[in-house]
Amino acid sequence: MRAILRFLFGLRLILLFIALQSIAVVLIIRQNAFHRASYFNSSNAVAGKLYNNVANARYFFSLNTINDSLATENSRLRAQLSTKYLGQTSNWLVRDSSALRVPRYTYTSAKVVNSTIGYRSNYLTLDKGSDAGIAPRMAVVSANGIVGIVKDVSANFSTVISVLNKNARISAKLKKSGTTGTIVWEGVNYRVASLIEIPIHVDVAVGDTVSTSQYSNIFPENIYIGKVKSIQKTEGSSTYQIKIKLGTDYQRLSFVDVIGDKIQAERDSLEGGLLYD
Amino acid sequence: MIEVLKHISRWFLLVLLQIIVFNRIGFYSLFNPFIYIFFILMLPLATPRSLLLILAFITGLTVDVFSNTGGLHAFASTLIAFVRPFWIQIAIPRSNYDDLSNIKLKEVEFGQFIAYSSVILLLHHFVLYLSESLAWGDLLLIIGKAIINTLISLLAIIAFRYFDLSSSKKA
Repeated sequence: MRAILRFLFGLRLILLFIALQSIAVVLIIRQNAFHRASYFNSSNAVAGKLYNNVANARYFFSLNTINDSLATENSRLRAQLSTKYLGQTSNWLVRDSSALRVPRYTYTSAKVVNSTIGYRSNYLTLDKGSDAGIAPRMAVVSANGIVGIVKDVSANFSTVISVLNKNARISAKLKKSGTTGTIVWEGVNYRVASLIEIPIHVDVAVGDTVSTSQYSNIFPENIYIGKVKSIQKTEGSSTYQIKIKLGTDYQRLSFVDVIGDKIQAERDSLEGGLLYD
Repeated sequence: MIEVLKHISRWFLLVLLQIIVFNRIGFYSLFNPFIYIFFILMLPLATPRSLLLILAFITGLTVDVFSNTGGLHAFASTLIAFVRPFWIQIAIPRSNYDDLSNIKLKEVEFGQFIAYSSVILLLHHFVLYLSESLAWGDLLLIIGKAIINTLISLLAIIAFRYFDLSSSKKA
C-alpha cells in the first residue's frame, strides 16, 4: 500500500497535468455542444461589463458611421412601410384584419459589445440577456444581413454563434431560382463564406442574392445573407463550389436585432429539435 | 514580494491586452496572436512545476472565458507549462551560467531567449489552432496561422521584454 502511495506521489506532477488537461477538454466539448449551456463564456457579468465599457469607448469614436447606417436603415424600413400602406388602403377590411393578427416574430435591438473573427469558431457578445427576453436559439440579424444564433444567455448579456463558426450551418437559398443550400464558413476570410449543396444543373451567376430559406428553424425567410462572389465546378462533382460575399462586416458591427419566433418551440418539438438550422 | 506583484500586474496587463486588442486584430481571419503567453514564459525559473501548471491553466481559462473558446487556451497553456522546464534545459544551457537556478529569465542572452520563446510559442499556437479545428482538411490553414501568429507574438514579446529591461534599469 505504502509503495503504491509513494509511486503515485512520484507521479503527482503528471497526474496534475492530466487532470487539468481533462478539465480543459471537457470545457471545449461543452462549448461546442449547442444544446448544453456552458458557464465559462463571455455572457457572464464580469466579461459582459468589461466588454460593454470598452465598446462604449470604441463606439464613441465611430458614432458618425453608426448614425449613418442607422439612418439609412430607418429610411429603408420607412420605404417598406409606405408601400405596405399603399397596397392596403385600397381595401380597409384587409388592412384592419391584418392589424388584428399577432405578429409571429418579436424584435429586440441589442448592442454588440465584443466580437472575434480570428478563431475557427467565433462568437459575439451582446449587451442584452434573459431580462430583455432573449433566449437561446433566437436569430440575430443586422441591417446588412444575418449575423448569427444566440447560444448562452445570462441576465444582462448573451453570446451569439456567428456565421463565422465551424458549428454554424445555416439553411440558405438562391433568391432567383429558390434552390436551397447550406452556408458554411471555411475559416480564412471573415467576409467570405461558402454556399454548398447547390446542384450543377441550377442556373447561378456572380452577383446573385443569397438569403435565408424557408426551411430554417431559426431565421425568418428572405433575410439577406450575401451575394455570390465566385462559382466553381469541380470535375466529377454534382454540386457547385460557391463563395458568398457576406453582407455583414463583423469587424464593424455595432447594433443588431434579435428575432424571437413564437412558433419555434412548437416546430422544434414536432421536428425533434434539430441542433442547427 | 515586489517580484510577485510585478508578475501579478503583468498578468492583468497581458490578459487585458489579449482580449481587448489582440483578439480583434483579424486581418482576414488569419491574425490571431496569443501574446499573454509572455506571462508564462517569464515566470521565474525556480517556480515549482505544479504551480507552473496551475498558473498556466488559470491564465488560459481566463482568456477562454473572454474569447468563448471553452478550454482551448487552458489546454494549450497547460501543455506549454508542462514542456517549459524540459525545454529550458535544452534552450538555455547550464554551462553558460554559474548557477542556472539563480539567474533571471530577463538576464538570459537575447538569442537564447528568442530560441526559448519561439519554440514554446509555436507549440502553443499550433496546438490551439489544431484543437479548435480538429479537421485534417484545415491542416494547411492551421500550419499557416501558427507560423504567422507565432511571428507576430514573437515581435510583441520582444517589445515587452525591451520595456521590461528598460523599466528595470531605471529602478
